[in-house]
Amino acid sequence: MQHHKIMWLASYPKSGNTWMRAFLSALLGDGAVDLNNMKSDGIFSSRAIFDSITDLDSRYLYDEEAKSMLANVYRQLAKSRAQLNIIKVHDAYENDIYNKPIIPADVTFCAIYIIRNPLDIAGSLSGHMKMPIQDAVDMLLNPDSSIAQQPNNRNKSNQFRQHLSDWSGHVEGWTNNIPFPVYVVRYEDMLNNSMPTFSELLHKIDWNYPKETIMQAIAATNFEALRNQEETRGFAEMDIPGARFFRAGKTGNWKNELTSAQITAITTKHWRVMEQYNYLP
Amino acid sequence: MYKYLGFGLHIASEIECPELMPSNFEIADVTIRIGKTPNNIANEDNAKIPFSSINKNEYLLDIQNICKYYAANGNLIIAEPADGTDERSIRLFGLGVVMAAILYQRNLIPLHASGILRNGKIILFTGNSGAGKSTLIAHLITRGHQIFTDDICILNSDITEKTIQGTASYPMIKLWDDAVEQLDNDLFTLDFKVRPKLPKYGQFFHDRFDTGDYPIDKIFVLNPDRYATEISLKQMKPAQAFKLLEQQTYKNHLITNTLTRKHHYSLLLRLAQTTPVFEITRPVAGAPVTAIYDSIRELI
Repeated sequence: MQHHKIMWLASYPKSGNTWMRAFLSALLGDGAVDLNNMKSDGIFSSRAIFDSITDLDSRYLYDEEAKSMLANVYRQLAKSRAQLNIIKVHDAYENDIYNKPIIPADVTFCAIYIIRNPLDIAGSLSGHMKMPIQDAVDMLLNPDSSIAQQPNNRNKSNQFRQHLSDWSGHVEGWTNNIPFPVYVVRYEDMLNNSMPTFSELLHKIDWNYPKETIMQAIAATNFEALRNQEETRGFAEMDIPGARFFRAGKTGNWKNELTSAQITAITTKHWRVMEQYNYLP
Repeated sequence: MYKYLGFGLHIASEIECPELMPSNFEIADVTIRIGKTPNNIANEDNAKIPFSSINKNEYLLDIQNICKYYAANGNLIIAEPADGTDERSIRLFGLGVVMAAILYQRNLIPLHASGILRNGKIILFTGNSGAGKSTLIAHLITRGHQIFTDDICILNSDITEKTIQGTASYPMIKLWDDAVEQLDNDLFTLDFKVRPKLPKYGQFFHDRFDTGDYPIDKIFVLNPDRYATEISLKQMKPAQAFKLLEQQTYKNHLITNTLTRKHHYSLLLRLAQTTPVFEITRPVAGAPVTAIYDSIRELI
């Protein structure tokens, strides 16, 4: 049932996607994980995947053209690989210019949507992108925000531009009326209630592992372990020179990071979704 | 029909191709037509539906909502543009991947490389898209070097089969707008967009285009490395050089013919054994083209 299919690991950036990927990778690797050699199959916006499947140099495509081909790229990828493919995605769940979903439901096994308190994302995003915290707050509020966009649409980055929408738009896009199962996992539960949270998720996706293996995978991918790996061996996916991918990994750090005006701006804009996931202060 | 020379071939085209070198001939090696492409091809070896399919003599590419292409028998390209597709876009993909399919059908090997001509020999700069090949040769032009080719160099043996030679593709360098700004030289302009909404600009050098075959003197492989903190240069051993050159063979997955594959390996083996190959490792950001030039100036 999972063969020739895709399991999407979807999230707003800095919400625990890499951690989830590391955990699943550790499970597939019998409890151990190498941060720079994870057993997953890339990111949705990867030019390398796109170029290898389409024969094209995607740097010559306009952003909207590439977006409209992505669903077929992943149909072909699923067809060509017998196993379950685990693909990370930060793009908002939306339609292309021809009004077709960019995510191909017909080859999708499920999506795991990892959600994190936007108040904590702000600081994490600011650290990752090396930008002022107010810019990170603005990103969370702006429905037009995107990542990997280059000045003047130069197409030199190794990923396509990823439109995120604002934080609520991202969450609601990925969790409402989606034509495949979407399992929502809270970052805070992964951190504070690891065993039941990961076990329940594995049960939902029908991955059967002994309790000991799950515990091993959780231990191998706890925040300290991943940060140690990044410090000693680097993290090849980190694309901002001088910045650290694994920063604090805490919950509630926003109390030390955000001004009251920034807290008000986020909670006012996102209160409905924040309330739904128990994130309101 | 418009008549051109490109990739060492006589090309007749129903659409005007200002990127290519005007020429005159009786019999075309390759003809480019605008028309209906087949829906599929027989006995395909590798199908990546709906994008492409290929067999020994045919290649079908569908760039959805832009253009479909059919390349056959090493001598025919049919382009079937979607409504509203401009001719520059048709040519950009047609002269890239589609022409690569034609070259392989003709048993010719395109290397993903830009190059200069010096003392009757070619110095090549190869590397992945975005590695900085075009920017580097543009900079070399400003230093008085003679441009030979951009992006693709076709490899072949001379008559003795001992020396590996290169043929230029066509007289245009493609540069992003920021590279044009960085080069800051009147030779390079923001006049000719390679596609209407893309800030990448064609720089013509028809007046200096050399259509001859020349032996390859040296090869530099440009390698932007996220872990590199400074520019470094090292000469590859032949085995490493072979592997790098294999990776840099343009769209090498389009080789389906056993004879062509053998020819490919034999050419690269001889090239790796007889030609110095250097790897230039550079940081991803903060390595200006002038600094890369400084690292190799003694060798060119």
